[in-house]
This record gives sequence, structure tokens and C-alpha cells, in this order.
Amino acid sequence: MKISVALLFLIAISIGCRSASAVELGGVEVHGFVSQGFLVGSKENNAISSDSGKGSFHYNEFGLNFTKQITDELHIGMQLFAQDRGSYGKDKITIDWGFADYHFKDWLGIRAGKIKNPIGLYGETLDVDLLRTFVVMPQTIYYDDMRDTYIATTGGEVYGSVPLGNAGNAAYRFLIGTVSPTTDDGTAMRLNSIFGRSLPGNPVVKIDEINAKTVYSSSLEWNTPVQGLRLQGSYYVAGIDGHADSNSSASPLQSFTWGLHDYTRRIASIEYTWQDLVLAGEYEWFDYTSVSSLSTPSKSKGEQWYVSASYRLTDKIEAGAYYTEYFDPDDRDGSLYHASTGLPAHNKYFKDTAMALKFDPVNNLALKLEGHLITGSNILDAQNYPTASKNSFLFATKVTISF
Amino acid sequence: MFPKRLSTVFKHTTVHVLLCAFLVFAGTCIAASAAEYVLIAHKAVAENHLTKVDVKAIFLGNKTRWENGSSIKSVTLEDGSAHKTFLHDVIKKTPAQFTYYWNKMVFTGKSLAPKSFIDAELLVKYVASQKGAIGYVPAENTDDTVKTISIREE
Repeated sequence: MKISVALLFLIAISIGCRSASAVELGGVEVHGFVSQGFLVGSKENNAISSDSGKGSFHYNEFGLNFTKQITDELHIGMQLFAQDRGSYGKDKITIDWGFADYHFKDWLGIRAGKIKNPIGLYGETLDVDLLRTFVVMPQTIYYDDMRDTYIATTGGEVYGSVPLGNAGNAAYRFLIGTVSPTTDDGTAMRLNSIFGRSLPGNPVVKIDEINAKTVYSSSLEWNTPVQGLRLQGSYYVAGIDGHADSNSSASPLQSFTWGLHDYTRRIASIEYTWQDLVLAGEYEWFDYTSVSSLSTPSKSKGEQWYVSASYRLTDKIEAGAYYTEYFDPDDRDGSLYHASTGLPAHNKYFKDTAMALKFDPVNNLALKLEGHLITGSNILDAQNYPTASKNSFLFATKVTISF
Repeated sequence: MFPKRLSTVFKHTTVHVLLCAFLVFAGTCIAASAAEYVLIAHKAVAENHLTKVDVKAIFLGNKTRWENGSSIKSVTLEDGSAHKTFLHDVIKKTPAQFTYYWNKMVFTGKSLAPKSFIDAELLVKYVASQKGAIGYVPAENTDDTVKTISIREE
């Protein structure tokens, strides 16, 4: 009900707006967006709320932000956010970001509060559909279901932008703080799956307690002297632990403590813009240590990358495509996994080719159509593995209204 | 049938005419591009010249202070050929990319977007009334209530 009222409010405001200009209420700038999607995919590979081949409308986001410039140096703001992904999100309103920003100099500023993490080129704008060509971003680097853990950090940040003369311009960010994941959100669901497939007999696991450790998130961006070329490095370290129950067949209900320590993400990014063409590529290598009172600690690692291109064909139409891969560098084709578990090798990797069209028929409105051809089933829950097929598809469409 | 010498003269003349036409056309294009917008600022702004790098940094929010330390308030046009030419020549972005850039700043809370105007005359009035303000307008819209700032390559 609250969401329906918000939707009508946003539509009414958007129709009254000529462009992405803000609505101003007593010196407070207000912006917002509503995105509603529809996903349908292969029956066997039920990726991202696509509901077993029947299609699903459980794919939306709502955002409403308020920002006020207090002095030339200080501004404060916050964004309310809700999303639905079927099994998590469920349109529960949360604070997406909310902080005070004091800008001492162009090369030095500080922020305190809940701040978006600079993960890759597009991590901080992942919630905002209007800022990209694609409906579903590459699910390797920008995996949707752990958004509650890595999208923002509550703590402090130093940032700045430094002119480098003939060498271009550099921008840095360093955040330290924590996160507050909950047992009903995407991270807990992903971990249920990870722990389930790592325990003997692949039991169903349910996490009932989740706590976060200190998060360190940083980035260094270089806008090079080559016109349109920017390079970025991102580094993120976090850790979580908690308690879970498993209905292992060996022991019907086992309680155990668990931990995911030193979860470290390193991302190298490149983006090149030439007139209406934007090319991007990112490569990530990550690792973490799993600990559990049921098993000995184990190290996991993975590598993932994508390349993408988007081109604005006319003022109102944009086309894009990407290819992305995830793999375990020690078991790239899943053969070792298959030999040790008996499960299909394609559970161990993920490859996705996507093509998208974006229409902007009028200001403040975007319509998207997108198709995916997927090989491998690694992004699925472990419980889906026995029936997951090697090849699958996903079709996505989405409407976004913003102001 | 032309004598050989006459034919050569004719060829050379044709080449010269085409070359001149091209240069006149190109010159017209460059002049039109350069004259299509003018960078204006509040009269109290001390700077008379800015480099393209500085202007780009100002309109992308990466340079927020004048040399004397006072605050810069950049303002933009919403549409029109002066807007497109300025973005293309100085900011090196298309209008869609410029809008995307500022939407990114707004929807992550990093910064407020520059105030934008549909009407160039309103933009000139705003710049004239706000200390530290800088904007761009079609050349015919500027007047003596604001100062003009020239843009240098380096």
C-alpha cells in the first residue's frame, strides 16, 4: 500500500518535471525513481526471482532521496530505498545511504554515515536502473543477492580529487565501518547455499544469526590524459560470522557456528568513452576463508570478469551487450568438482551473454528489453543443482520513472 | 577537346576552388562552433581566462573553488545547440552522458547537480545575481551585467 502511494506520487511528480531536475521543498532537493521489471527464464534454472519458467514481477526498486546544502562546504542527505527480488527484499523500506559530507578542499573531504561502497565502476549505482543500459548487470562482479552486505558501509570516509596536470586527474576514496546484514536478506540466503554445498550430503542450511566485522572499502580512479579513458582499482575487505542449523541426513538437525573471514575483493576496471560509444571491462579476483564448528577451515577463491559495450543509436534509443564469466582458477571446467561430488561440472562455473535495448521515449521514462544466454549454473542456490541444466536463458524487461 | 595546357590549368583551378570552398566551409564551422556559446561569470569573479581542463573540472564538480578560495556555483542550460556544443567542445560528453554523470552524483548523495535553465536569459540573470556563479549561454544572450571568461587550450 505504502509502495503504491509512493509510486503514484513519483509518477505525478515525474510527469510534471521537464528533465531530471529536482523537486525543491523548503531548500531540500528531492529526487526519486521507481523501477518495475519482469523476468522469465528457463524452468530448471530459476535465476533471480524468475519463478521457475512462469515469469515474475518480483523485480523492482523504489528510491526517494533528500539533500540539503547547509554551507558551501557541508551538505547532508539520505535515500530511502526498497526492492523486491522474490525471496528477499520484499519491498521493505531501508536507508540506502544517508550521510553528512564536509568538503574541505577539492582534494580532501570527509563523509560520516551510511555511504555507498566504490566497488568496481558501477557498484555504487547498482540500485539505480536509469543509470545504465542493462536490466541485469553482470552477475559475476555485481551479484544482486549480496547487495545487503556490500552496497554500503556505515562509518566514515575520506575522499578527494587531485588534478595531475598533463597526466589527467585522480580521485580516491577510503571507507571504514560496518554493515548490518539480516537473516532474511540476500547474503544469508547465499551463505545458506554456500554452506549447504560445502557440508557432506549437501544439506539444507538455515542461518539464524549473522554479524559483520569491520569493512574496509577503497578505490583509486584515474581519468587519464587519453580523452574518454578512465582506469580504476577497487579493494574491499569484510568478514561476517554467525550461527546456523542444518538438517544433514547424517545428523537430522545440527547447530553450528560459521564464519566467512577476510572476504577480499580486488577489481581492476577500464572504461573508454568515444562519442556515443562506451566500452567497459572489469576483472576481479577474490578469496575468503570459511570456518565452521562442523568442519576444518577452508580457503576459497574465484575469478570473474566481463566486457561490455553500449551505444546510443539515436537520442531515444541505446543498445548494449556484454559477456561475463565466473570460474574457480583451480577448477576452471568443474571437472575436479564433478569427480569429488558426483554433481554436474557446470555447477562450478557461470558464463552469460547479454544483449539489451533501452528506449527513452520522453524525459524521466526508460524502457528496457534484454535477453541472456547462460552456460553454467554457479549463481543458483545449491538446492537447485540436482535439476539445473547446463544451458539456460533469461529474458528481462523493465520500466523506470525518475525525477 | 581542351589543349593539354588548358586542361591542366582547369584541373588546378578546380582543385583550388574546391580547396578554398572547403577551407571557407571549415572556417565557417569552426567560427560557428566557437561563437555558439560564451562562458560568463559573476562580475566579482577575478579570473578572466580559464583553461579547458579547469572549465571541465568546474562543470563536473571536481573544482569547486576560485583562486581566491571563494565558492564556485556552476549553472547549465538544459538543452539547445549552445548546450550541446559546449558539452562537446569542453566537457567532452554528449548531453545524455552529462545527464548520466550528474544523476550518478545525485543518486549516490555525493553532490547536488548544477542548477539548470531552459531560458538563457534567466541563466544570465542568475549569474549576475549570484557571487561565484559561472555558466554558458549563446553568444547573443550575454550582456554587461556579467563578465565573459575566455577559454584557453592550456
